[in-house]
Amino acid sequence: MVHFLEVLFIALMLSSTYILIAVGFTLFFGAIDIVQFAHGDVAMLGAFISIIFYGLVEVSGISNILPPWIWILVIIIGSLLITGALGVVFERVVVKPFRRSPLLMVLVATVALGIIVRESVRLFYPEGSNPQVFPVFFPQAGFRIGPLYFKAEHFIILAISIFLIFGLMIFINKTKMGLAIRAISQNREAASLMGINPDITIMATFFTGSLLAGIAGVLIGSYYDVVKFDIGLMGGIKGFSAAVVGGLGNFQGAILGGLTLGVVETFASAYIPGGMPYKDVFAFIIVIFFLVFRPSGLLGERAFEKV
Amino acid sequence: MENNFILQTRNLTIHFGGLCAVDSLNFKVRSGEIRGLIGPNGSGKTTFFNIISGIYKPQEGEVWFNGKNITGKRAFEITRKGIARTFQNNRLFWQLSILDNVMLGMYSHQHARLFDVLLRYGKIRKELKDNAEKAVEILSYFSPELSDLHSRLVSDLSQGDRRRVEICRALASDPKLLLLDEPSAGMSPEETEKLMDDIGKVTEKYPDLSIIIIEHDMMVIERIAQQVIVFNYGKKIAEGSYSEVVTNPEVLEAYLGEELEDAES
Amino acid sequence: MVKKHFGDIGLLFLLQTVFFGLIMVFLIVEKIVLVLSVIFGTIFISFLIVKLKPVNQFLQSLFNKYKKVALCWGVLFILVLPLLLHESPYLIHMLFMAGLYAVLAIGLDFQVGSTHLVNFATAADYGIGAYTAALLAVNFGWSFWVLLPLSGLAAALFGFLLGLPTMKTKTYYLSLVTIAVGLIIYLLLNNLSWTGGPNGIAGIPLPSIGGFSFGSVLNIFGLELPFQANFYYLILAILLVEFIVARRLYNSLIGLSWNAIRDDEIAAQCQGINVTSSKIMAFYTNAFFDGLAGAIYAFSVGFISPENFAFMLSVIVITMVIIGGMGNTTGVIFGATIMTLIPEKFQVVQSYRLWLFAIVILVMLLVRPKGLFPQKIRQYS
Repeated sequence: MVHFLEVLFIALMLSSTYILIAVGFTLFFGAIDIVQFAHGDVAMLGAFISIIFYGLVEVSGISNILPPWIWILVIIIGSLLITGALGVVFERVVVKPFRRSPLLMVLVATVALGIIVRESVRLFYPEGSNPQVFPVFFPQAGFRIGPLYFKAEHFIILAISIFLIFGLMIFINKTKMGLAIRAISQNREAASLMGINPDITIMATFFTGSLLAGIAGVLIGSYYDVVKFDIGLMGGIKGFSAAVVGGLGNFQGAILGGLTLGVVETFASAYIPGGMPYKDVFAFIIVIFFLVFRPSGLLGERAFEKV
Repeated sequence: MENNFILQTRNLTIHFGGLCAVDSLNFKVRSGEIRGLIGPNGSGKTTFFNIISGIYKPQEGEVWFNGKNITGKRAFEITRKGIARTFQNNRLFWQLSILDNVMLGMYSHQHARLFDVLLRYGKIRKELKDNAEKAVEILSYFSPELSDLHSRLVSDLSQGDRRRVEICRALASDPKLLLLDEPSAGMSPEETEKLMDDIGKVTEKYPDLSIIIIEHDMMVIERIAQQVIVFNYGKKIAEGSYSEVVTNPEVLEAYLGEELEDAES
Repeated sequence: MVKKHFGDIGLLFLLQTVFFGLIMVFLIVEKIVLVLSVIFGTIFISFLIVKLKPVNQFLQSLFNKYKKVALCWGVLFILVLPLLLHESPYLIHMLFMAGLYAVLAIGLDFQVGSTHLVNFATAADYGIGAYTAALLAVNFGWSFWVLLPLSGLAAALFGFLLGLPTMKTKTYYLSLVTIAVGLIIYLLLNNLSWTGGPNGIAGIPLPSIGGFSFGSVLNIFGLELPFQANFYYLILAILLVEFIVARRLYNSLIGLSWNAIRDDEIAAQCQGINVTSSKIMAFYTNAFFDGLAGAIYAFSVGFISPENFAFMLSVIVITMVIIGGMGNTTGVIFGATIMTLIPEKFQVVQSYRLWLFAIVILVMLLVRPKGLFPQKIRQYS
């Protein structure tokens, strides 16, 4: 029988990974009013790239020479940087051309991008359609606190997520680039008149959001020990849902939304008998509920269009 | 509410966050009147139009139109009751033709139901054909070129022509009240002259139509408006004829700000 | 004068017949090289026709003058196709599938093409239609002819209920909800016991009309057509009905108001259009035809499972609308046809199908977002 606190902990941990993806959606929407439907697949790429790096490290024998924490760190940071860069590439190729076009274009284009990314992995990665074992990056030891049992890995995942979320908050609130991002969210024209280069700022936004998604992919991979080419589809939908529930464009909203979704999902599958296969359904029902009764989300969306 | 006013607002108020965009506004327009609405940028003029046309809901106050309370009603209901408008940034249906745009103006009198479209198609086609003729008539009253080119996409037109189409579209709904939001925006002096002639034609053809026109170009207001109202910070600060309003010190201060005081001291 | 008419009509016949001949060659030929050459040849010739103004104008005027003749000849060809292909039941089935997808695509065009509502729930409507028909047929023995409209209505009801709360939300929320709903329906179909779970429902009987079963061979002019031809003609009939409905909607204030909503929702409201209820109408008219298609599909293959109604199907149908031409019914039919037939010919790349579709979508959106056959300007006289 699983203890309530253990379930809560898992819920928090899962939520934190959703938050990392949701934050990307909210950043992109805040900056340029678009939804990047392939963002979840960017997370998947983060996971797969780290698997590739791990393979390289094994093959080259580096794992035997250097202590594990060094090359694990290098793998993770390397995957993040590449994922971030890919995010920027995607923005240039699939989002920027549609800036002045009707919203439908960028929506369908990013859905198509997601499919291309997913299918490319399925078709061109060796044995791509099968689940891939995810390398062990974090200590697997378990420990007890009283009657409760926890895994060290889960703590680390939660810790990394929280660290990154705080890091993002500091970045957005205290750095020059963060200020630029906030400025173009409010008013792109005014921002450019102030000397802010909107293009570079948008690229930075996508780099940051994609980087966070990349790490989410690595963390999710570590938690489940396997990844599959299509985890990005669900992951993206859930991340987007979390952002919507919290209020699209609202940073704190992404956090709240991620928590809501993670908690509902974990508790539903833990406590509702026969609920496991339907855990995704619960998450979506919450989203639909919000969209019907409170479309601006828990904390409110950005301002409406000027009439 | 008094009956000889086509439009009347009482204590109309709306906030956006901390900003009060329209503040306890009492406003009256008679049938057939042409009102000018002026004021510095951000004084709440367009917001006022948006409330009247149903795009925004006021937090306080009432709007009465043609003897009925229309406060808080939705935009399409209000249009169907007889209020039509144009937009500051020219909201035409860009991928449709001139004729299509004007035909859509007639929607409020002719909203087709699925049953009719599927099973009484002949009748629908005839109605549309008649409306198309009426639409061409309206267009040709303002500009023969427009009615000749009615199959052109509106995105191909000049600013003056676009505005003309927007006005035709608004007139096509046979409104009792017409709201014009900065119609001369973006126009050259020649185009503005033509616009004033057009508005003159509107008043000629539709003598019972009430018009409220927001403008920054004082020439237009001077020539067209019978009465002028001045807004500032969401409140009405002056009302009267053009010459009265233009010499009103409060109005001058609103437009020129503190500079006038400093200049005079 | 008469001679000129005959000469022109003769020329029209000739051109059309050559075109139909190309289609036949494309369908029958099996060597990849030949298929590719037909495809590229056609693309090349179409390109030339479009770019060379005099040729373009000549052809257009020819077709406009003798529209009725061209139409008759075209319709005749479509009706006669199974006769020409009576030795290949597989090809006839392929044409049937093309027709089925065309039905789905025209419906989706109401939402995506005319109104710019991004709807990824086509597979859900389609599945609901199919499962309604299958469950009632297998468990209660209801007749196909009753189930056909019933499935349409069931799907339309679903579309209406789905549309009701979501129409007030913005475009990107709508796409999220439709994706989520599609996934939920798939999950439910896969997990509920009474839907047969992952094994689906088997044993759906063949429809029959006046004693003639759709599973039996069709005898026309002494030729024996395989039973697939029965379904081919059935889908053609449904396609015809849907085409008429689509044309009527387009040429009425309903279609016009959908376009208005597409171009500027706020301005549309200010013309007296109830935007929410118009969008919901686009939703349930789309769903109705998806439901019809679902029922027909169920009865034509006899066995359905959740795999047939996965998210990818929704993506495929959206591709057809985007390629064919948004807001253009004929274009959409064309898009559906080529997007069904061409991948079928390249069996070897079956596993690449989705990937290629997505690439085609991206390329089309970047290069020719209005589709191969963009929407035409309405005429009122």
